[in-house]
Amino acid sequence: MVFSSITFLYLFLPLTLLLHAVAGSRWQNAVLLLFSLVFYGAGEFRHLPLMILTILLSYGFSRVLAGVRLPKRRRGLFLLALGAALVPLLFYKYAGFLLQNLAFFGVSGAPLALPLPLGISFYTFQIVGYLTDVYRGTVRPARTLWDFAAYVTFFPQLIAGPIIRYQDIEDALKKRRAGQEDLREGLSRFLFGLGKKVLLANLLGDFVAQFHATGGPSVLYAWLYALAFTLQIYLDFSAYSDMALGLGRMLGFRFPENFNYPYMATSITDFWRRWHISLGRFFRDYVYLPLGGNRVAKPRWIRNLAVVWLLTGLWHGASWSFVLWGLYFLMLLLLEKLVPRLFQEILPKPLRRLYVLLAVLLGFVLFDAGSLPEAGRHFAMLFGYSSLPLTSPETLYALQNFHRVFLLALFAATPYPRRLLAALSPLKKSRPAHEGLVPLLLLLVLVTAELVDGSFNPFLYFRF
Amino acid sequence: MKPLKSRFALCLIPILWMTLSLGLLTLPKDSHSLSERRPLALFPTLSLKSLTEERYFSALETYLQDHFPLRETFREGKALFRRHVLRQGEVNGLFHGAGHMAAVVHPYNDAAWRHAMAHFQTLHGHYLEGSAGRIHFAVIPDKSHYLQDQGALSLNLDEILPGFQAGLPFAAFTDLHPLLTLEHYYTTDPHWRQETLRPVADALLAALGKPPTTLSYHPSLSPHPFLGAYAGQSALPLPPDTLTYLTHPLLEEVEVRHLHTESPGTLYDLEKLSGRDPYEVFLSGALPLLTLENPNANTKDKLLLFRDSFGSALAPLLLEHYAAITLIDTRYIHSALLGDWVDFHGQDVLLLYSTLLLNQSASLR
Repeated sequence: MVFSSITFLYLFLPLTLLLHAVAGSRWQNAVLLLFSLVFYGAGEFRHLPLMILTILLSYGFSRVLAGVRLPKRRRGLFLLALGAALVPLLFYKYAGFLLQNLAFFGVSGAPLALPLPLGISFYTFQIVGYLTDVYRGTVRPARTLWDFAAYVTFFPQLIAGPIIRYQDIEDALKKRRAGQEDLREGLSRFLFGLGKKVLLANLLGDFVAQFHATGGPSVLYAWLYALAFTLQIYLDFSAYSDMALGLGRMLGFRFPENFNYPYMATSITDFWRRWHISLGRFFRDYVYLPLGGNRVAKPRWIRNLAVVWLLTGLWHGASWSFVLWGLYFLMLLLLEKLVPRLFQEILPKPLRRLYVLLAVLLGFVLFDAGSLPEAGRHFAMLFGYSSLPLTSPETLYALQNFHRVFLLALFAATPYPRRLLAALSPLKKSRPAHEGLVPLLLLLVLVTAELVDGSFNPFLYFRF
Repeated sequence: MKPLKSRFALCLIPILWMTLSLGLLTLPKDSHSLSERRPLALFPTLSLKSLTEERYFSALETYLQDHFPLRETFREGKALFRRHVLRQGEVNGLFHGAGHMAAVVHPYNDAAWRHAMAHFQTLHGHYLEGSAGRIHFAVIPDKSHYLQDQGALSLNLDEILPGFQAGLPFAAFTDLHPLLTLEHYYTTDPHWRQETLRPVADALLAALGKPPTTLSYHPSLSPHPFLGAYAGQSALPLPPDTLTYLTHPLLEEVEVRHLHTESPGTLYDLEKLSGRDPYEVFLSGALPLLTLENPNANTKDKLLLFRDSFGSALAPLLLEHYAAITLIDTRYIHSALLGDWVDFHGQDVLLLYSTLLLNQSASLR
């Protein structure tokens, strides 16, 4: 089940909100857990037992870990718990990749193409974060299995994040209440994200699909494709985060922001502080800082960064193109750190933004390619190799069909739509409440119209 | 305390939401969509297998989409948003321009054209070689060909047809595309208008060594507004056409026989005018084999018309100069079986297909 579906919007969500509202505080987490399991099972029934087993093991380990005092024993138990949590992810996501590469060295074996369980990267990282915090003593283990299970399976962020720390919602798990303001703000945020996803990201996805299928490529088409994918992945992913935050708010939870208009960044360093913030925090707190961060000699610092970016690339996908993608950003970050004046003072702000956009756009071309050869083909198209024409009838046709989508998507990638929506918000005391309704109603109606006409629209970050 | 107006306004979205949800659950369900000409999804059966194979919820989603309250209104809303707000020329797989809807026949599918060529070569090899009659082929451009100035993508027939012609050396070729314009087609349907086809009929008759038609046809109008095959798919509100069919005393005496069922038929099946696809008025629509016999012909010449759906409207206009026309649609009968039904000896042959079919010719058997 996805948020942008009739099943979710008109069956699952109203029922969940209703039962959650009428359940007393004793039963709210149970309602959440039940509906979250249904939500996950609807899309991934056969891997539901795996998630449940991981939850049971992790909870058990965390309870035992909290009671163990001896450092050596505690560390051993922690490592065992981490292993138990990580093994499914490593197996499903990386076993095939490992076998492929071992074959290169003459180690034979049948190719392994395992379907990746939905959201496994997200919920595994949540569990790893939780176990680490319990081990460090920065958080007490969940008081009940139901609370812990509700935290891990929480449907608003289960399959595409943000990656929530247990301490971020610990209090809300114990006691929460969604007041009128929460419902209105949550609904507004949710509809805004839904609009971004269905009315913009999905259409950009159509453009990308048409590019991949075209018989009339051109240099211009390749650049438009790169722009379309860059916008699509941001709008798709940030839309999901908007919806997750909105749903969480309606249920009485406050999640931290996961995006901060990354395409407004003025350096790659700045970009990665604005993009998928929860993942960045995770790698910072659980990998980079434990390795020493930047408080070590330069060679070790570079090594620490390399480890983080290698893992970032691999987290996104098990292929060399993702590894290269991670290392690409490592190079840019190192460059910015080695020549900070260039990127902070010398280059004017508009040029810095352009550099970021270009670097990110090229990075996403690599990201979208299924393999290194495919990435090479796309880069060759961008720079006019293989006698590709500058434009073609198919390019102009696609541009004619999508020019307004591009314009709206570029606008949506800036802070201005949210500011506009906030200015029209029913919450503004100076403004009559009904005036803010029109854009939200329109979003709901347009999204419903798109969904009713039917098209399968999975989130891009589903399979991470 | 918030004024009543504001409090009501704040509840409006949840009220609308819940109303649609309740409507989805409680309103009676239709079995067919008239606009889309298809049956609507049935409620899926829940089983362990359907859950483990992850089919159940996608089937449920399809069911809910099909039966959503005010579905047609929402579809129209989406089409209007795409067309007029996003200014998309192509909506729901159809190009819109100059008041017409047209399928996007692009890109060129080389394998399909080669398959069609091979199919015709096989027909020639099995049935037509050595036959005394003329063999002729013509390609009907689809509407997008005439919408290129509106920005439509279309096949480059000037590049495609010479190669196709070269693959059919046993057949002479008539280029139809200069004889047609957008006005020869219905606005919401892929098909051409019979009342505009006289020049096309005359060109093909000339190519087959026949004189032009001399009959003065009388146009009869369908009493029902005609919304064609594209109307439902597009969901955009376009004014309907008026479907016209041509009558003449000679045509009224034509005997139509459906060979596969050995039953009589009619040139114009008027019951279809109020049916799901009114264009089926021409020879009752998609049929594998039928003959039209003209008892008033002043010749014994016969014609074999290998065709797709476009041939149904044209065939009556060729009847004046043939004693019989046999229409063969090898999408619905395998060509290997034709010998059991048709005598190919000495008949003129016309291969008449649209680019819609030739670019997706897998159905030719």
